[in-house]
Amino acid sequence: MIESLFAGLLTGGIYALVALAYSIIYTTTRVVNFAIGELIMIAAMVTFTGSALWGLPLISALVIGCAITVLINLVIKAAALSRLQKLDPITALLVTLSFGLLLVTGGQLVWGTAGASFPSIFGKIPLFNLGSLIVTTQDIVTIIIVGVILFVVDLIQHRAILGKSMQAAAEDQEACGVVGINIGWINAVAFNMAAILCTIAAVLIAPIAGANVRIGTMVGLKGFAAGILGGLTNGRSAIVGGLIFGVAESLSGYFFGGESKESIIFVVLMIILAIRPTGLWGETRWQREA
Amino acid sequence: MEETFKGKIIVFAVACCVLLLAGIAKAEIKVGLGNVMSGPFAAWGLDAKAGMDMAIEEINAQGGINGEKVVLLARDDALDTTKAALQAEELIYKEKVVAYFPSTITGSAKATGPVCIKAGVPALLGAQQSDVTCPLTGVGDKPELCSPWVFRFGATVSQQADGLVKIARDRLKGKRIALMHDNIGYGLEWKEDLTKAAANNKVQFVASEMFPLMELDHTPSLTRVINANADVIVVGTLGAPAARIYNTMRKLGMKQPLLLCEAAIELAFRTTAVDMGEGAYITSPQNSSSVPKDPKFAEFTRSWSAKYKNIGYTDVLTTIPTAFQYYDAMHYLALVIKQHGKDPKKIRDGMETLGPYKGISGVTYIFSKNNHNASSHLPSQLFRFQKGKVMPVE
Repeated sequence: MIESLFAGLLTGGIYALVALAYSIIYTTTRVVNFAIGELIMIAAMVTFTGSALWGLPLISALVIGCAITVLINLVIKAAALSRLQKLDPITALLVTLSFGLLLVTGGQLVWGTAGASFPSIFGKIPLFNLGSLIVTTQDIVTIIIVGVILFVVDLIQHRAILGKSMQAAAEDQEACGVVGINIGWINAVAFNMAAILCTIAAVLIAPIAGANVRIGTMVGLKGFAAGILGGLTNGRSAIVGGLIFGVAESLSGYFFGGESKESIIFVVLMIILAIRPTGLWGETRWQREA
Repeated sequence: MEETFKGKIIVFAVACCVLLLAGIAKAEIKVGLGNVMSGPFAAWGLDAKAGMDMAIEEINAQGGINGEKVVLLARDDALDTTKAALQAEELIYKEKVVAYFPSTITGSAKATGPVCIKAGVPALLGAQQSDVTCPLTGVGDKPELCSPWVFRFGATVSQQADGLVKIARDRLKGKRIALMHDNIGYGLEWKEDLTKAAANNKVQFVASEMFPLMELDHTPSLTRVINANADVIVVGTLGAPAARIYNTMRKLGMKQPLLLCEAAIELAFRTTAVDMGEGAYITSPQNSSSVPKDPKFAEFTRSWSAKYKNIGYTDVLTTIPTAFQYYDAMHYLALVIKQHGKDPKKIRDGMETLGPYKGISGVTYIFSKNNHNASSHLPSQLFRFQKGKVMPVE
């Protein structure tokens, strides 16, 4: 069981990164960016292309992958946060969804569907055994990176002026403009932070799942579900939601088998949402106003 | 008077030219292919098309069939069964194809089969596929699905399942065999057929684990397999998920033989698995060896990797059973048309009477009036991944 618990914590950490990417954009702009999963795919595939096909050092390829992911997310921001957002958030959501489909289709045209092995930046040197599981450098570095990133983002969100500006933007974008907060810039920062989180998630997932154009679909969906579980309106809740989701998924697989694990986890999610519609620790606007 | 006569001559000459051009334009034999060529499963359809393209190039280079060029009309159904059926209707009724090659993917093939049957056009199934498209037991058991118009070149899943269980038990010496399969139709069908095959061979799986196709980490399922003391793991899924099982097994330090079904021979397994899946086993009724002994087959694989290097088929990764089944099916069809003409009814009759046909990989296809499963007599062969190559296990 210890193996499944550890594996659940690792995937939960990745879900937490993805949930946080959703949360940052949502809390700042009130837009759910459904292209997050596909941004993960783009980051993984561009990094793979730079490293394996162009022969660049993995770190350089990663920087290029991150830059392209940021650029694409800025294009999505421009489309989703134009007049569409003011018209209807659902329309903005559909725009992000369309971008996601476009990215997958484009990805298939560029990279095909076969997929490839993705190297681990930190190697997979066996360190010690946990039950029958061989814990490698990749696992330990994943835990460290996820921990550090989540801590830094939390610090930015709750301690830095930038984070407070983002919270203010979430409350009332027009009022922020009146007091001199550059809303366009704040929105761009939120989208950029999410894109960077997607890139980090990509380099942690790809050595496990391989680089392929389908890599982001389920991770994006589960990251979103994890964010909903914790509460998308709060970064910390999204992180805890990710960890809970990963561990619950893994342990239900261990105890009940693969046939029922996804059903179990989504049934639990539905029950929680029936009791707490805003997620375990999420807040509604009226709660904050009160 | 003279002008009228001249005018008649001009009209006659123009009419002759039109008839001649029409004759030239008609001097071609159209064959149809409907397959998935975009989306996550595109590789399967593109492999099939590549195999047919290669066969048609060879046929046309030798002057076509009875002087007529062969033209392939391929349509991408994007895994949409309704679209697949409509495209088959378009190819059959509008384009007048003389034979139709249904999709590699069972669902689409099942949707286009009835269109061919209704129109009276032979349907040539190139790939190994679910039983539902044409049952192994022969023509007539399921008349709505299998008819005298459907011809299967690839083996059925049930036929392969039987071979897989026997190999796991007899050649890999499995006494406690575990089954893992994905949660899409393909994996579920493998589960059903493998479970039946296990019962027929007096084998009981000690664990049966289903997993989502895009599962990142298989630790929980494989931990259950370890706890069940399994000594062989049989897997029914596609290439990439099989690779992720392989990767997790390595991480868990598992040494049990991993036995994969034929679909895992696709590129995605070796390109996604650590060390290109070194040591994993795979079964196939086809001769899937990366190092063919037959010079003709060796030449084919060399030409193939030279032609399709741009889509990832390097020398090491050249193993494309789907492609060479479609390749064989196209050549078989060409022989039938050569002998019987291009009327669909005569093609259908000729398909049954051509006699044994040796395909490019060395397997022999046999059709008859009572058997439209040309691979039904082929035993499953055992291969192993070694340094990225698929090597036969003697």
